Amino acid sequence: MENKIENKAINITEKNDISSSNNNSNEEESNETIEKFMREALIQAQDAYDACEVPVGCVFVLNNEIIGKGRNRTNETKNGTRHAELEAIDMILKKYSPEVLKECTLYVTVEPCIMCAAALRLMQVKKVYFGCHNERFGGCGSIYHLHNEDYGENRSYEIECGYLREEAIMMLRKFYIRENKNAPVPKKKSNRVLKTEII
Amino acid sequence: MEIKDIEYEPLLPIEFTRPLETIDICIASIEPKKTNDILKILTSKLSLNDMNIGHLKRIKKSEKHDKLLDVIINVSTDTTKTETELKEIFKNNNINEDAIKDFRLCKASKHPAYTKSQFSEWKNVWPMIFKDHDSQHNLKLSDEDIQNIKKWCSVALKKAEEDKQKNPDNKYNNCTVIVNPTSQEALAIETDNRIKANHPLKHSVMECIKTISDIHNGKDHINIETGDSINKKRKLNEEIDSSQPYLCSNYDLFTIKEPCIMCCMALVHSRIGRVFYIEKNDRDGGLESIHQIHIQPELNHHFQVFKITLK
Ligand SMILES: [Zn+2]
Ligand SMILES: [Zn+2]
Repeated sequence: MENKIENKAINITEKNDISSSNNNSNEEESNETIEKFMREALIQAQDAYDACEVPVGCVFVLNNEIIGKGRNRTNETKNGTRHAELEAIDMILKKYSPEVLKECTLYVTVEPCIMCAAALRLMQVKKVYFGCHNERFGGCGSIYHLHNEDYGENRSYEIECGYLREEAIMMLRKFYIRENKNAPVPKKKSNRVLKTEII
Repeated sequence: MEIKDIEYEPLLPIEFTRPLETIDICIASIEPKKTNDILKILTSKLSLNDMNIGHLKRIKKSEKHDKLLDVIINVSTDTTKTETELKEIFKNNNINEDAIKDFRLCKASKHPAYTKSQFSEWKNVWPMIFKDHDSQHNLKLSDEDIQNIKKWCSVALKKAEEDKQKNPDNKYNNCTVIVNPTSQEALAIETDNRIKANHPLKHSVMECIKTISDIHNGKDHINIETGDSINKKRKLNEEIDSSQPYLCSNYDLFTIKEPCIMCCMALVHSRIGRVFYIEKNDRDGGLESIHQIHIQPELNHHFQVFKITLK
């Protein structure tokens, strides 16, 4: 029910390519590694799509190993705050102490929303890779820049975006087209057209 | 813990609080007889809305020219150019160019008035239209609201105090209450559980949202006051499932500390109705300290916020 109303919950920006807020990381992951984990995040997003949830997924990686996964569960839980990132953090904290997040890198298909971006700061995650921007709710560049804003204790984190961006966008587009078709009041026709070209 | 009296301050968008700011508009004086013809042209060629001054009245009685009317032409400061162009248009529409004269600049309010006091001041610069924005942003709380705020703030303070006795080292001590304003029933009363649960995200607001989703999912809910286990699902379903697609639509939230940025955005996602809090949170508050998430124009849901001072 949530998604019908929340129709374009996540707008897709056409911001370009790989951009980094900060590139002084001493142990840069190779492109291959990044893509590998982004693929895992996309598998989570696909899982959300299959369950009729907004298709966003993520994995947390510690020393090259996935220690937490999550995907959107807002409909299932009837709780609009159950985003992929919070699901994964809860999973990790069942096994590890919160300090482990300081050593973790997050791979998420869509830019974290303001809530999650702030949560990642509270958890002091090391670095965040994301696929596409989230114009409606994004807290890492779109609406706010919570990852490097000066507030609270200094707990900013690095972000890099653009990895497997097209796949992340396609999944969202597919989702909203399906939602529109199921919506009781059809939206404008143009919303139903699957745009296959990605700029 | 009885609260004797309170003061409140609504945390409003800039539109409600800003002082007068003026812009230059180009006006001219016209014969009252020709008003209809001239207005027809002006509205189609130079609409006030298109120039972002839809809050201004187009015409007023001229103070400078007896028996004439002053009319807004555009927002250009080049009056000579405006005059030439307009007279050209008049010629093409068979209106005598003598019907309009004295193109000049005049001041007017740049922004629409959101409050009556802004309106009564700003309309003296140039007449304005007043659209009442107060229905969405009640600036004044009712006596009933005040009574309820006192009641629920004291519930939150009492619960936080009890928690402090149990966990004296908890620097995050706080309590949040979410209330259905129609029934005046508390649906969730939660303390900050960061330390207890060793989980940095278990803030009292997040815990309350979780409690309410549990109720929606039919899980038994423990009444914190009495310790009774109650299942409110049926009752909630009647009023929520048909009409309220979001978890906290129209609910009131009372909390001691200004919610952090994460919690404020969680409240946007849950569509909270109103938030009342007592203390500013300089570290990462999302309503006044770091950001004003409840009125962030780019977000799709806004909520009312009142800062409460206990007397
Ligand atoms: Zn999120
Ligand atoms: Zn919080």
